[in-house]
Order: sequence, then C-alpha cells, then structure tokens
Amino acid sequence: MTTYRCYFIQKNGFPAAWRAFESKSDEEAHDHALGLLVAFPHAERVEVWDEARLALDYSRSAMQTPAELRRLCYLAIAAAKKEADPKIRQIIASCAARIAQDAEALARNAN
Amino acid sequence: MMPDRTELQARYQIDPADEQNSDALFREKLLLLMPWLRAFSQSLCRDATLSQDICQQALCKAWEARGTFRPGSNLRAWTFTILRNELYNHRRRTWRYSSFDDGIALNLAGPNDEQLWAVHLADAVRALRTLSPEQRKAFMLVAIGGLNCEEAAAKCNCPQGTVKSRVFRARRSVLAALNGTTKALYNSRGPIGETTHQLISDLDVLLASEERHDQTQLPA
Repeated sequence: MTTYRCYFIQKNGFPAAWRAFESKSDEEAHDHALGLLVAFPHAERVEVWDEARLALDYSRSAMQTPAELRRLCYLAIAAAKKEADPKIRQIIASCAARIAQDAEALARNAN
Repeated sequence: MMPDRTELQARYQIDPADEQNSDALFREKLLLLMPWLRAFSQSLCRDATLSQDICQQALCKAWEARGTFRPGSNLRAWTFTILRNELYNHRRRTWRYSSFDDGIALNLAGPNDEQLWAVHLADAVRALRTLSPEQRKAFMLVAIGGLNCEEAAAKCNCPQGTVKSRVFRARRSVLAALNGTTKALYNSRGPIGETTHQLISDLDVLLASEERHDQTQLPA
C-alpha cells in the first residue's frame, strides 16, 4: 500500500484542502481522489501526489458529459464507503446524489 | 490548511524528542508544501516551465539549507522566501541574455569575403611551415595556444628571453612569408581544410607532449 496525498486546488492555484489516503495503485488512488473531489465544490482541480511525484492532475472542467458525471457519482459513492470520518462520508454522499441529479438533467437535455 | 506538527508526528510516527535532528520530518513537511510552492512559483513566474524550474531549485536549496531552519518557525514562509529569492537571482542573472531565435539566425547575412578569409588562413598556416621547429613551437604556443612567455618557456624548457626572441623572429618570418618575400610559402599547396586541421592537431600534439613532459618531471 502506498500513501498518496490528494490536494484540492482552488481557481487561484493554491490548495484549499488536502487529505492523505492509502491505495494499492495509481489507478485506485485516481479514482478515490476523484470521488473525494465531489465533496469540495469550490475546488477547481485535484492533484494526487506520491511522495514528490505528481501522479494525477485532474481538472473539474473535464467533467462535462452525463457519462463522466455518472462515473464521478459512482466513484464518490465508492470513496464514501472507504471514508472513516462519518461527517465527510455524509458530505460525499449528499454531493454524489446532487451530481447524479445533474447527470440525469444533462442526459434529458441532450435527448 | 497545513497540518500541524502533532498531526505530522502522529502520521509519520516521529518521536518529538528527535524532531530537531530529524531530516525525515523536514522532508515530509517539504513534500507536503510542494503544491503550495508550485502555486506560489506559478503566480510569481507566470510561465509554466520557468515556475517548475524555480520551484525545483528552491526545493533543492531548502533541502541543502535544512540545517539553518529553526524548528517551530513557519516552514512555508521560509520556503516561500527561498523561492522568491531564487526567482530574483534568476532574473538578475538572465536579464542580460536574450533567447536565441533559429529563424532570425538563419536569415542573418554571413561575413563578407568568407572565402578570402579562408585563403588568408591557409596562407598563414603555410607561412608557419617556413619556420624552424624551435621557432614554430614557441610561436604556436604563444600566438595560437594563448600561453604567456613564462608558460611557454616552461613548456619549451628554455629561458623566457629565448622564447621572446623566437616568437619575435617567428613573427617577422611569417610576415615576410605572407608578403611574398619567401618562396617556400607556396612550395606546398594542399586543401585549405586539411592545412587548418593540421595546424590544430599540431598544437594539440605540442600541448599534449608538453603535458607528458610535465608529468615525467613529477617526483616518483
């Protein structure tokens, strides 16, 4: 298991918050970080660091399609299940629900 | 936003008693600060590549100077100051440089009479062949190799005055050859490139042989 650090970056480029978590691989860490991102609506980007290596730099603007939003919702629910802090777990779950609604609305508009 | 010391100590299982001497804690703190440093660097530099370079240099300097950091003081402010000073140093060093533009360089006109200069060079190389070996060696070491008379005297293993006189006579002979008063100049005509390469390789041989000579003089 590797300890990753996940930073939620504001529009001005500076981190607004950060969390550390353990993951087996970069891919798993990416998914977990994206799941956590939904709980930080003011964050523009998320950066995942493994020691001094930048493992992921993901911008919220990349999530535009209903399919991406659904995937994000799924990742958020998975991240909420792993989260130990019940307060944060609740925040992630409620944000995931809102994103699911957004995804449905986008899909309806597209149709 | 930054984790406090007790949180870091608990997370990385660092004994507070060893904190002052702990490079591990300093390293962890530096690693945690990296996104802030990157953001600060980007806000100062307004250039992605330069900001990464400055950030990396600042991190290296912070790590090298970790012994001067006072535990308990603000590490973020300390590293930010290092980064800002690094940028100031960079700007102070680079203001006099401008970037090399390949497009402009390709369109620059070459020097006039380029071929004529090559011919003059070839003539000078041939003029050197008119000199005696001793004069040629002294002249090449001083005029082409850039050594002063004292160094050349040491290389030639002769007094400094001898080198000066040899160089003086060599200059006079070369000038005479170039003015056409010495027929020997045109006795051997080879390709210009070859003569130039020959000159450079002769100088290399001279300097290398003298280095070997110096080494042989070292006490065993």
